[in-house]
Amino acid sequence: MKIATLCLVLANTIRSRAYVQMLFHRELYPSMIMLLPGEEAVKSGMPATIDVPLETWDGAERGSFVFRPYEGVRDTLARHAAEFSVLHNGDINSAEVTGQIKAIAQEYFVYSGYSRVLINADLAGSKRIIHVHGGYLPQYKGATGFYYALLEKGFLGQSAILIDQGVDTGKIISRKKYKIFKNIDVDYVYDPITRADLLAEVLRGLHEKGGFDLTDNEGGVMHYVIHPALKFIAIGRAVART
Amino acid sequence: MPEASKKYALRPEYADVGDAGYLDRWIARRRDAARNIGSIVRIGSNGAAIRPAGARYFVLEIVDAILAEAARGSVSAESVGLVAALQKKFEVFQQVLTGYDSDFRKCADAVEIGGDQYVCLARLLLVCYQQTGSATYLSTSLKIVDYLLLAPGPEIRETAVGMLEQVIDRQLTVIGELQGS
Repeated sequence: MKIATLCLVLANTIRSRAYVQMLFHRELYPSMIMLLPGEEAVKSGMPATIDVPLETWDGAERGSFVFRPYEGVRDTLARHAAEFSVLHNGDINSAEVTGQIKAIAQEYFVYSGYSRVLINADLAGSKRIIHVHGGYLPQYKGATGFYYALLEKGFLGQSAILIDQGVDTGKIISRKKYKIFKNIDVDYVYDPITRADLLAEVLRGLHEKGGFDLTDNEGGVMHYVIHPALKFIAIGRAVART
Repeated sequence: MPEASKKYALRPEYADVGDAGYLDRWIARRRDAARNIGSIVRIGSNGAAIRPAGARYFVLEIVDAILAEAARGSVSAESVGLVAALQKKFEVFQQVLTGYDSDFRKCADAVEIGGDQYVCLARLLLVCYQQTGSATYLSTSLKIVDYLLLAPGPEIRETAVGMLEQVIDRQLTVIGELQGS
């Protein structure tokens, strides 16, 4: 199904690869796709395909998904004969790119760029930008929030929000808790795939309803990149529970 | 022995835990550091004791007051908020300064706090972790000790060494509890 109001802005990162592969797998096609120039190297030693099981914290199975980490975004788009355009540069906040995005008709954007950035007020005010935050909101704001939830609660949480001017403060579209599994790289595979799973669900809702029922995102605690000792324990404890 | 670069705090490398033996090695190194803690004493002028002009928030006073509050049993939500504000400075700017204005922006003549105040802050972050259960405070407490153990790290006086030993001991106890739970 084609989502007429949606534009996907992608970089050639592992997360964008997960997004586009998952969306196409679920037969969700944005009406416009824009690529940021550049490329992020793929982590070495990854298998060519990874069968990723998906299950929510409350036991609802969401099937499995075959992820191809080495398949670049352009390759996936070509495999599905999807059209795309390339943005002027990799900086979403540059005047050129902001101007390009503001000029198009689509109301909703999914932004999956090269790094964590705050979207400028001009762009955030003119378009509805969907972002999947790696953490269960409103409790887990900030960086590596999903590791803190793994450590404290045992689940991996993801939250889809509409971006505003704050850090992870936009209103919540949907959120979901996932189980994690042994032998799946949390950083490099499970995090982007679970984000993609939630994103696909959210975009299906956008297609069917034409908009979102938003909830407040007040409160919570700001988190910063987790200390590696705690990250190690978080993964170990969560895997031990499965 | 340096365990991590200060600049690691917000860099992706900080998150790379490596192989299955990572945590055991990390704990062994930290225990070793605790045994040799006296070697990191560096006599300084304690410039952190000088209140910057226009400082609404004078970090020396803040940490002393909240430590005294903690010694009485618990700290208030307002105090947790102040510790969180200092935590943010360390995480975002990788240093805490001696004074901030009423908008929590740095004072013009502020300098980086001394090692003694970092020890106090690491202790307070542990208190916040124990009181709220939020591991973000524990994480930053661990990073601050990483920073203190760097060579050459910030000036730290002999009077603060005992508290640093206690902080490391408590951190290792908490890590052990988290591993075992």
